Amino acid sequence: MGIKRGKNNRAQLKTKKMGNIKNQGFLRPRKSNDFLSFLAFNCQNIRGQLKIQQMIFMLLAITLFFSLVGLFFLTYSLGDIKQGFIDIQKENAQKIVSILSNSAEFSCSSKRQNCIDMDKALIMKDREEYIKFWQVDSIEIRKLYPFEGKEIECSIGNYPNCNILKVFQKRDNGADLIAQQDNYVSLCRKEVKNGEIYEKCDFGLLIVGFEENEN
Amino acid sequence: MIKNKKGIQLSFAWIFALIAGAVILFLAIFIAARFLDIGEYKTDTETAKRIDILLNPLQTSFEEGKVTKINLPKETEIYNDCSTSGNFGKQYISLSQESFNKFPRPGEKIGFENKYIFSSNIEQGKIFYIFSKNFEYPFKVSSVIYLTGKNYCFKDMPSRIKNEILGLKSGGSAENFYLENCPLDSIKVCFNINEDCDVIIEDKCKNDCENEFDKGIVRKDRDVMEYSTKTLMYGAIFSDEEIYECQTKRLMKRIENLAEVYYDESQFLSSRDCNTGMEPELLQLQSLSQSFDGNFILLNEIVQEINEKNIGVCKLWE
Repeated sequence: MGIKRGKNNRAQLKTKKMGNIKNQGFLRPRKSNDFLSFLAFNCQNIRGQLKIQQMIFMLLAITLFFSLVGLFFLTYSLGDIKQGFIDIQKENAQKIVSILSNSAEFSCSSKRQNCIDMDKALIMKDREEYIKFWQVDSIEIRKLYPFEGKEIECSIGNYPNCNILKVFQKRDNGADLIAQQDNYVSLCRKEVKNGEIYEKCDFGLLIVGFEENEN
Repeated sequence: MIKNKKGIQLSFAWIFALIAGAVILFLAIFIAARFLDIGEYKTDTETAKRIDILLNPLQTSFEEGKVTKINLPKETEIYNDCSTSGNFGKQYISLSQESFNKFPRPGEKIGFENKYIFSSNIEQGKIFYIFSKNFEYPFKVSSVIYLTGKNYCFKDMPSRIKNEILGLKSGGSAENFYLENCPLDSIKVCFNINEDCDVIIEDKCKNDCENEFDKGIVRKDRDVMEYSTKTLMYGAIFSDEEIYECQTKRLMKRIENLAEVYYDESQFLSSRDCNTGMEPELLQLQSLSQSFDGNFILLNEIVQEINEKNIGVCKLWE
């Protein structure tokens, strides 16, 4: 292919087998009423069109292919992020359980580890201002020993003759808990017997739970 | 061969190919750059969350007196943000790790309500030192955390504070605390003297404190921070004024809520023949901490009264 020198020496756009360049492009049919010659002219022009279409299809196909590869990669990495979040949540749950029993709102004393003041825990029940404070979705305290024979949920009315205290439970969207971490604790309270006040302690379990879609 | 120098031969197919190729190349580079950015953001966010988890054991109060050293692989900026809105305020930390000799925008802010971190607004370095102390006022409120990457030089300390600093250094991790042979870039902390010091601590005790420097003022450049208890004194030393004031207000909110809990517990125990006699003082503590404005005078008085009443078998805390 080369530029045919025309009389005007200007650069000319050339397409393959387009016919006489003086026709100035392939879209202009000959001025002829002959249908067959019209068809013949256009058939000569089809090859150039096909070549461009082939290139377009190839480029589209390559772009589509790499887009699909990119989508698969993104799906994998997003799945990785979600798993990473769940792992971090579980790790966090284990740490939070240990600090909860030693926090000011539950602890018997700053000098005793893993000791829960049950009187205070009962007061903490369903306090709305604390719902987001601990970054957990449920806190439950269970008395394991001595056991009363059946499970009785604690309230102001039946305390201390009960063995399950649900401090709070946030399940507004019905999601299942993905992790429940627990820790053995002492459950101590003030008891009055024969006019004498003393501290009575039982053995129990502190259970915290987390939802799947924790923010 | 092109003989005509005035023209360039380009078929339409080539033009199309060049344009389409340039667009695809641009898209590929753009997506790769965005992916790199998102990857850094994800790493910084994860690291910030892991630091949050690392701080949890410091809240058990049994880690008091120990310094934890955090070694990060790259030069890092830790951003400490604090908000006093809500029932307990909120603590935010975020991270930005150095990349190509500059710090990109930090990762997602990790927020929590149950931690109190005293530090500068931005701490930069590869090594950070963290330790905690209990804040009791008058009952145990929380463990507060101090985070710093800078060197500190302590001068002319009272013996009790000197023993505390030596205790922190004894574990071997508090390499950034100096009592002598201080590095040139260290921050000089002086007690009651005013000579070429970056931080000056003034004692305001007048026979009404258990120990000297239990209450006073910390001066840093033009900032003046009033404190009560040594816990807040260290907080004022290691943090900016803005962070110190915010964290102090958050601690007061926690005191307000705890005072309410203890007040309800006191009434509950009274119904079981265990009288504490502290209800009026607890109500007053709740009110004063709610309206806290940086002045500790009235609070110190009520705290002292409550401490004197919390005795006997019915005491609410130990």
